[in-house]
Amino acid sequence: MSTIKLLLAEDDELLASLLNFRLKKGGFDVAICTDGKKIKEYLKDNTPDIIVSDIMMPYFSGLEITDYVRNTLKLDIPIIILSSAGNEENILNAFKLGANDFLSKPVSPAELILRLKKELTNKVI
Amino acid sequence: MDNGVFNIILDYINIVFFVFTVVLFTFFTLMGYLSTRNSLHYKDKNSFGDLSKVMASPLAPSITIIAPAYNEEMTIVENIRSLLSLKYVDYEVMVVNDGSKDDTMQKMIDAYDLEKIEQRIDPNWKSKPIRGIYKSKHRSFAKLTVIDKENGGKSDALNTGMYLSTNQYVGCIDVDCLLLPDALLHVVKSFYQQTEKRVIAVGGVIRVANSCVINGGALEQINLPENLLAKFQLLEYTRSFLLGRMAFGWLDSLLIISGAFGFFDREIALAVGGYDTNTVGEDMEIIFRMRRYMVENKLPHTIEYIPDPLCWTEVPESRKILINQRDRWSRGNLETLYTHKEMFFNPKYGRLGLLSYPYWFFYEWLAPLLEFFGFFSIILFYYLGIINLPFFIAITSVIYMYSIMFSLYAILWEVFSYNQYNKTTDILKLIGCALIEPFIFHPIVVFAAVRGNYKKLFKIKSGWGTITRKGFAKAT
Amino acid sequence: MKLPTLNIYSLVKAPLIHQDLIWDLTFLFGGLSVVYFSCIFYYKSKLKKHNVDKAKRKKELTPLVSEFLFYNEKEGSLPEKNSYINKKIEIRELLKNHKNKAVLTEILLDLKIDVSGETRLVLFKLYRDLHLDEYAFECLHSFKWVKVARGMFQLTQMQATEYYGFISKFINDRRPVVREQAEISTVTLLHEGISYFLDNTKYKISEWQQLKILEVLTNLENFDPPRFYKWLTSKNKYVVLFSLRLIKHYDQNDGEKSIITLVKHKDAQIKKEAIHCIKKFNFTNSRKQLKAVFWKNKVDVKIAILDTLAEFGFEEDIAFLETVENKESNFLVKSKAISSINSILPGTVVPTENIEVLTPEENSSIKVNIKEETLKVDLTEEEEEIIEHILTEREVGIIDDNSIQTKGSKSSVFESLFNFCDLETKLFMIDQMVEIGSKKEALFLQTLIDHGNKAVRKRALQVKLQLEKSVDLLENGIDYEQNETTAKKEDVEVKIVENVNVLLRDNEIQVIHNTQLKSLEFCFLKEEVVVPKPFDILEVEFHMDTLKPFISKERQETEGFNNVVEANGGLTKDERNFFNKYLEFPNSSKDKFNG
Repeated sequence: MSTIKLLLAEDDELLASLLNFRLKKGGFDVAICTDGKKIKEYLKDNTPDIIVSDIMMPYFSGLEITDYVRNTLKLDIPIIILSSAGNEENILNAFKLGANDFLSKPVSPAELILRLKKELTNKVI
Repeated sequence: MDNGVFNIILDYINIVFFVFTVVLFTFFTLMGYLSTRNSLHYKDKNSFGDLSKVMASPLAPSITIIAPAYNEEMTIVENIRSLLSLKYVDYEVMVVNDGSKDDTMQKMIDAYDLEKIEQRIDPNWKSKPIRGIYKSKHRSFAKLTVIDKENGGKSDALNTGMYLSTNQYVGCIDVDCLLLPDALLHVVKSFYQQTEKRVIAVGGVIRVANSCVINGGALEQINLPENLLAKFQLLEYTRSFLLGRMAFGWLDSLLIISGAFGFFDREIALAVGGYDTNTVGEDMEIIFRMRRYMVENKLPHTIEYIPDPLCWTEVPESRKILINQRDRWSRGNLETLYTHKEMFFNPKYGRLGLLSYPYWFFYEWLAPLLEFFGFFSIILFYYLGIINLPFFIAITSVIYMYSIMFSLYAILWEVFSYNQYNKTTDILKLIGCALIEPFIFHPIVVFAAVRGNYKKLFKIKSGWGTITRKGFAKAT
Repeated sequence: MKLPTLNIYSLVKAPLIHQDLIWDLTFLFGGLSVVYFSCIFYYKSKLKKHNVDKAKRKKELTPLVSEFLFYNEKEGSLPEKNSYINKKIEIRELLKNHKNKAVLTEILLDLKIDVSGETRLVLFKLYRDLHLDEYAFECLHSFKWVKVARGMFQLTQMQATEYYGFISKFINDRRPVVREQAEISTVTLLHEGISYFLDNTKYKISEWQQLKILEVLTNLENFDPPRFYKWLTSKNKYVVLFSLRLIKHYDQNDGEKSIITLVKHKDAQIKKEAIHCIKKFNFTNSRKQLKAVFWKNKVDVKIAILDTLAEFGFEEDIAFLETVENKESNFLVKSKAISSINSILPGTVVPTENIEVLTPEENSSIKVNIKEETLKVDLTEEEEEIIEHILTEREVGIIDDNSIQTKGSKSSVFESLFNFCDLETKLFMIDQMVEIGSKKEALFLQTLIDHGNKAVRKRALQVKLQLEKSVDLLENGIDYEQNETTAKKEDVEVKIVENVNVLLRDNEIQVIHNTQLKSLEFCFLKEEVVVPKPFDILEVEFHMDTLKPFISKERQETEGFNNVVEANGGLTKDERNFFNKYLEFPNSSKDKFNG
């Protein structure tokens, strides 16, 4: 299997760098964007295989990004949403907009990897 | 008239003036010192720990936010949305439509899918009649209650909210204010931290939102106001909130909480009868009354003040609206001071009577009047040729220097505590404002204060007539 | 001054103000202004430098931290192991600098908030490995209270339980911030911390502090709370208050006597909290006590008492409530008394003011509207989605439902409970049906559309519409015809029952029947009494019935002849039927409600 291109959208640089490290170790090719604008720019030129996105971000929230990917770009790549508050409304909205999975913060990196793998295998099937 | 006697009188006037100035200097220096201590203490105390975890605690108190609305059809829907998204669990947003003449009520009904609910109302209802109480049909807006009542002014609208609320604390805010998501957590913390005394009210700093980027009810970027008047007001707010209130807070002698962001222990607020509907300075007056109530009933109490920037509002950018606002403030000030005149140097009220009240009397009410008459007597004396010119120049320059020093200290403190204006040019602009303020902004404020006092003292009727519209005639 | 009366004037002559002094002051203030001016910019640049420096250090340290956190000894190859050891040496070297220590601590504290699972445990280990705990521990000896508190905060966040002994000593520290942090730390670090704290604290516990401690407790893993009634005898008033709140939060219904006694406490807050506990645990023995202390209290306590009586009051409390209604001057208390009477005996006090009189036509028009609405099943897209979401989430629950229903009676499990409970519970049950209901509930709801209470009718209709929709989704098309016939059958059954009720309505028995309309907890309470020994029930009944006249009223109260006697005394045939239904009632249904 070739390396999987993963877009990590997270405004907390510390967590982003930590997850980046773990994901790279797990064999992913990671691109980090720290705000909504950068994500949209990145998506113009690249198509990742999977997206991991925080909800609360400057400029565009994770929900808006999900909407953008699904409805503007019309891409069917798996999206996993991260959010600090277990806000029910956010979760429902995320799923409604087409997110594939949801992880609440604090995040367990090991769990994130497992979920990523699950989503990717689902997609292959 | 005897020339010698006249000279002596003039000399005494000079002395009175000098003493007044010296007392003022001492007082303000002391204020700077106390606020510094309080700020440092506050900063250290809150430098660690996390507030947001406790928002869903079963012990967290219930809060009602009362937002009176009068002819706000343009902004009401957005403003409510921002109020509904605060970080807290057990709170209710109660919008009181104070008999708006525009489409405010219908806008709310449409946007939030409101329906009338039935509720028993006290037969001895003291406020203006209620037309209906509305709740949203949607679960996601369960926190919202809208009360439609007949017009009775801001105080009456706030009282209605207080009577109908069943929660422990009520917050009275201006509906066009922007509250940061953490606001209620800070408020609860302030109410709940004391053990010795009962916290009867919590107030906070009001920040200037002009030229800031606000998006979807959230503050995205903080900018220095572009408008000159707004800049002056920013400087003024920084001085009074960061230094003035902080110092009074440290001494536990706060006598005012801004009407735009004030939270009350509902039980006490109702015990004193809520807001006074006959004054234009209701936000100040209710604090006077609550404090007096507590002192007279020998109940240990305090008022907390939160210096964190939680409430943002747009200040008037046009001179006319500004003058109207200040005019109203000085009338309110006069009315409140007059109503509670027994407190003046009354040791029974402790620091409130010996320090706070005199401060309000001399420096908030009397000083602008003295300045105004001083200015004209100087001109008069000059024409009469009896002015002691060197003394006049000396005392003017010392006052000017002091005011600049004080403003600079306030700016320094702003940088030290929150540093929200990152650009160096912004700070330089603010300093520039401090230099020219005594010539441009200050006269406007003094004029407004004199006008307000004149209206109140000589044309009482016109003063009363404006009551129903007060507080709502705010520029947005 | 050239006048002859010179000496008089010299007496009143104003003292001279030295103008030089004024100018000196001007220069002083000018000088200070310059000082402040430079301070502003000095401080600003310092702040900027500090932030840049911190960012630089963070950049340097963060990759190292990641490396350590995800290093796996077993999987690592030899070069990896070597690089790991080298990096360990590198970071040790870096940590000789105090600034680096502070920054690294900050990084770890931030990460602790962000990560969970095993990584978090590795993080705690790393904190100790790098001896940062010792650095924090040094702070505990500082003279500055901020430093002490911050040190404790860090050790607590990093679960450094070995410092529990040191930290717990600070819970009676003179400095408030230190004390408060010590309390939080003590409770967080070890499970027995809360006991130690409640035993030893001498200071007042602020509301905020109680809130935070409870928050800590609820986040402790596998925490087995001690029995908090032990602290109800504490000398510290605040410990008593906090214990009451903890008792309520952790549902510890032992210590009934102590709690009831606290209703007489001098402090209004403790009183109120005790009343809340009584209400929650249905300590019906307290009724006499509550009524006795009522008049001396402030409005909020009075309302709490009335609220509690509404919860589990009996017919004999009505007289008291009526006295309250007549004597009390406060409107809120008065209306609470009325609502309490109504919840004990529904329909006793009806609204009299501003009631519109409906003409027969109006009445019928409402009915027509309802019928039309039943045909239209209009759910918004959003609602549909939510229902779908709920259904997929609760797949397991639905399977459970079926098994219960096959075991149980043919009708809805709600039905038997429904007739026994008060209005609020009825509405609550109907709401519950949205989530866990199936076809049977839909049928049951159909019968409720003709219910005597408007609120019930309305809610039943709403829920039924939603339910039908969801059932439809679940079973791919429901056979409406068949339903209708069964519905009709049900209808007939209900009509019969209702006729019986109508016949009974004017009878005295009706009153007794009404007292049995209890809140949800109470329904289950009875169920628990009844279910384990199904065949004893009538005997017990009989026994009680015969005994009752011989026991004086006081004894009944003091010896705890409470709800069971009251509720079951004098069963009618109709009610016995209900009990018979209970006997068949599956046990597991209770779990279903709670779940």
